[in-house]
Amino acid sequence: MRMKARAQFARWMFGLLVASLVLSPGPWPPTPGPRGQRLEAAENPPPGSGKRLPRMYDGAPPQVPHSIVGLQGLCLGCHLEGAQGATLVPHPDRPNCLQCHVPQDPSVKPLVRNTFGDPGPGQRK
Amino acid sequence: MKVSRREFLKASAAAGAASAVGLDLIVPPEAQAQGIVVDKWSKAPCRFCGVGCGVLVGVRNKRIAAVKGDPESPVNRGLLCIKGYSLPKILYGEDRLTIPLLRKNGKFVKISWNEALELVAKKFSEAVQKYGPESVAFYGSGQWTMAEGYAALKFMKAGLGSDNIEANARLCMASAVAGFMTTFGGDEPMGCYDDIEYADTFFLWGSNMAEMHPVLFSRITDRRVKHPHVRIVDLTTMTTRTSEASDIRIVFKPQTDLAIANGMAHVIVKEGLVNEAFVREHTVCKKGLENIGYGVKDTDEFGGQEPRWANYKPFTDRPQKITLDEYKAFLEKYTPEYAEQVSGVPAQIIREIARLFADPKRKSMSFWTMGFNQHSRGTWINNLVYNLHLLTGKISEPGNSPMSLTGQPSACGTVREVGTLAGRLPADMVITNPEHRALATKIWNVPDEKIPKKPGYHTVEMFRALERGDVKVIWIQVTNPFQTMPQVDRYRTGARKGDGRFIIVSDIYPTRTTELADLILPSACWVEKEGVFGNTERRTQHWFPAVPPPGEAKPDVWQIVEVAKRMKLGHLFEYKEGIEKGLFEELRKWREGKGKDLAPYDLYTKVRGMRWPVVEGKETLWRYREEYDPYVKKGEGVKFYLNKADDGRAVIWARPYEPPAEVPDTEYPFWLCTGRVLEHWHTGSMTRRVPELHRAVPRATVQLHPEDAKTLGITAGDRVKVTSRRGSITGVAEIEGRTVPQEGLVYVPFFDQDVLINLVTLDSFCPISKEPDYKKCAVRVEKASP
Repeated sequence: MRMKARAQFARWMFGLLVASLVLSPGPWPPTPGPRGQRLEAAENPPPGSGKRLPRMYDGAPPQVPHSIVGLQGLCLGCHLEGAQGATLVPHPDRPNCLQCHVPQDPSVKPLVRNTFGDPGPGQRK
Repeated sequence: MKVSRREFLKASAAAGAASAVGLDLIVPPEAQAQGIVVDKWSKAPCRFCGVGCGVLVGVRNKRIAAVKGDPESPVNRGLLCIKGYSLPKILYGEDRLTIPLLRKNGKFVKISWNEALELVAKKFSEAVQKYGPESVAFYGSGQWTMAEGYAALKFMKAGLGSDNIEANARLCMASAVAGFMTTFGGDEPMGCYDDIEYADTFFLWGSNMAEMHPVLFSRITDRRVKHPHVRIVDLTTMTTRTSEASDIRIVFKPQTDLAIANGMAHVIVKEGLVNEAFVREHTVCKKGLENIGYGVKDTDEFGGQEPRWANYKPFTDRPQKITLDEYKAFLEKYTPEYAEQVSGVPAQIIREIARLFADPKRKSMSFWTMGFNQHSRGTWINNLVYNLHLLTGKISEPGNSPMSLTGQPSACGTVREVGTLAGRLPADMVITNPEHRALATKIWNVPDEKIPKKPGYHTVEMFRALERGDVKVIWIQVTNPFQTMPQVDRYRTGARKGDGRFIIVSDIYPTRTTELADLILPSACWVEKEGVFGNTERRTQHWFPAVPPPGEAKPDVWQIVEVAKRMKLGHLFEYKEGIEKGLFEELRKWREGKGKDLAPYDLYTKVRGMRWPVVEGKETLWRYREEYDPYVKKGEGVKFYLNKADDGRAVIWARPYEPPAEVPDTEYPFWLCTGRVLEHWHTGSMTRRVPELHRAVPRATVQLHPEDAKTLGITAGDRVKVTSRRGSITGVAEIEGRTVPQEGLVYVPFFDQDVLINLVTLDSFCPISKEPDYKKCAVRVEKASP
């Protein structure tokens, strides 16, 4: 789809989503629909919660702090114009959002501790 | 950093304008890491996939503090994917191997490097003395640097006289290599990434580029967004993120790519879309053997102790020249209707995509990776996609480009170009050719008798030989075969049978391979050592070390040389310019004048890589065509000069459709396909130790079509069991996630060491390339008992 058409479609879908949330406030995440999708932990908040995750390092792409269940391909619906406090995307010309920005399951503990960010030899803490 | 609406609109207008001239304004200001404090930025190719993005590594106090995409790299122009952005963390899992570990009474105890190296030397020497050079083996990797691969090659073939050196690229690229060698007489693509910005039509065959070659995929989608006439055709066995971004999505039954490709060729011939002059002047037609088997049983291919070694008869094809008319007669059977019957793809679609591909007003680019290569007829399907480009003359010029995508960062540069495969020497040369052997004796300064005469085991056979006991000592570097071998239970069991077997594993983290080792050697990783990789588009890229390795970890080259010294083979590795440059400059000697020339080492330390052949300081973008390739003589126009046997002509192959080794039946009614996800690299030993990547995809799931799930009474999140004739795994069901298999197929990624899907897969392989088929076997799927 062309950028403009994609963005328009995304806005329409977002409108539907907001409408559905407003009209039928239920528990989040929604119970599995007829297609049975829902794999993320219940703790992953819905879009619009305003939460931000710490970046891996200065310059790393921000990670997605909310569930994307049912929202693949619809990022720009909020992020193009900053709807609901969504971060404004600085590069809307790039459509492959999930290539760099991936959702995080907050219930998942690291398999092994990663010492990135620990001070190097000779550096004071 | 807050951005006002006004600022945002200005920025996006600027981005829009700049991006009209290509992927230029890639790097948003925030990603330029202006706030970060580093001591130094240095260049390196990414540690991960075969795209070979350029990165800049930022070091602070001898540790990596950040990376950014290298804006000066022509490959990615500052863009990375999430694995690339995670590079700073891959070295820092707390359980890095830092000291040699020897198995003693079922436990691993720390030993010194000297003890470890003496032991490796002793084990190799004793085995060679007692059982012959056929009883030792080296199994390396497409993630080896070029120096590492060349050192191992020399150690084995010039030092020990053993041809048993293989690499994990046998499991990913061998069919691509066999395709290149049989069609063109020479390995590696004739085009380059520049083709993307010229192409009008993109055919993606069995390749989820959006997840597996993301930065290249971004170049494709960028081209598509800016030029609405561009079409992306996705041919796949499951719908993926790649499908979502494509214009035409075609789901076909597994293995029937053979029929579809022949069906397209049929249409091209019947509808007068053949470039007659090109075919007449630059091609020959051939056919080979049919019903060529699957390599499943040991008796199909074996070797080992005398007299069985004497009877070793690997499969060899029997090519026969045929006329163009005979080729066209072969194609008669492959009507679009026949292809529909076999593949499930409507005949009309096959006609339309054939016409789209062959349209003389459009430039066509084809991409493929594991769907084609990990295929029991992998060589054939590689031949068939080249047929389409040869019949239409769409080759070796900007935009017209069959591009075999490489998976690993240096399967090209190391495994293929250095020749770390059974029977091979550098630059596509072979131990069975007297001229090539003569060059080996000259460059290596060893007598001809020293160099092995018979090809050694290919990978599947190598691990079968270990299981049988015909291979006693094996050194494994930079790879994890006891997670990745198909039908892996056989090979895991084989590893621990004792009886003189000794397995040495050089790695950076504990894996499912180190757990079966006798000796574990801690290794340096990526920018902890110097190195050179060669990517998909023939771009050779160098990096200097940026940080020291942890503890006692050492580069793999050092390990090989130190063992060699203790076996009185140290003279093979004495270079006054130092080991890294010395090995590289010697490798250059093999490649000079062969259409594979490398530039001097020192040049690579300065530039963002160069695409070979580099002749008189100038890289080659398109091979085999006069205006671009210095090897094509004036007036020749197009010459596939590496195919001397056919006078510089490329081969159009008559290859039939044949089914895979194992198909679904009543007891095992599903296809199993295995593969990857964006966030995890191979067996996950690096990426699962990065918290952000682990949180993104914490476990391998069993991915099902919703209708199949309904029939089986499975909902997302249920534990399900996947069983084949060989073994089973249990995993969490995923339904309508990012990938949706076709009905009757389940997809399980292989990155998760706790969901060992290769217990279930079958070790059938393409008899020509010897590459296993990881995409097709028959399984049963059921809800697991709680």
